[in-house]
Amino acid sequence: MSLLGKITGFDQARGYITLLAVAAAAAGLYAWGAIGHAEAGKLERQAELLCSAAGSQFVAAPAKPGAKPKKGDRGKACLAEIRELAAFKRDTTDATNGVLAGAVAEQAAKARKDAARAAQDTAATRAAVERMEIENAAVEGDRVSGAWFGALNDLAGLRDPAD
Amino acid sequence: MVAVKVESVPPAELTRCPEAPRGFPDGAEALMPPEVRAAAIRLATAYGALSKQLVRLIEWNVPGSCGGELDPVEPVANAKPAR
Repeated sequence: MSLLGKITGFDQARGYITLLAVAAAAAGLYAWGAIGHAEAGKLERQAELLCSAAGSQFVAAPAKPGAKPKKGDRGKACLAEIRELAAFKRDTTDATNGVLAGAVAEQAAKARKDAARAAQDTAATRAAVERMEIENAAVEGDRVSGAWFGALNDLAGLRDPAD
Repeated sequence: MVAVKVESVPPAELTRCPEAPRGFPDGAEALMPPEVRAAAIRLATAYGALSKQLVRLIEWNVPGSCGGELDPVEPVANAKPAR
């Protein structure tokens, strides 16, 4: 009896030890799971923050009120929004560069045209001034005539009086 | 940021090309002392310079409005090589 009792006691003790081991393992697994769960929650909050910065939601509101949001839909709307924003940025940068480049080219063309016109004007003015000086030097006795008036008309850029 | 080209064109009244008046008649004769001639020359010089400057200003703002297109000196980007 005593031997059997000892054996039974041992059996009981073994049962406790097994239970303890299983409980320890379960506690470990639970803790591990809890850490994983906490990590996932942290990531989801982070994702929510990122999506709200882009003006969207990580967990989009369900189509029907009261319906549960589908897990697979999480982040879909947000991703689309971010892609759209990136495309917008790219497109506007391209458009801006185009506009600026066009403006620079147009300005350059204008300046070139104006420089050509200015050179032409300067040459014409110099010739007219020269002619005026010659005609003015040729005046005798304060009497001015057709040639002097012609040079004056030319200098002022006036039209031909016969027009 | 989107850059948008803003056209700022002066009113049409301001970009009207100056029309030169008719000059002194061909066979005109007059007695003019040197001071009067000098004044007339100054006026004519100033008028000529002003008109040219105004034309340039108008052409800058509204290209082609004063006609008389200059020689095509500006190179065209897709111009065909001269033969």
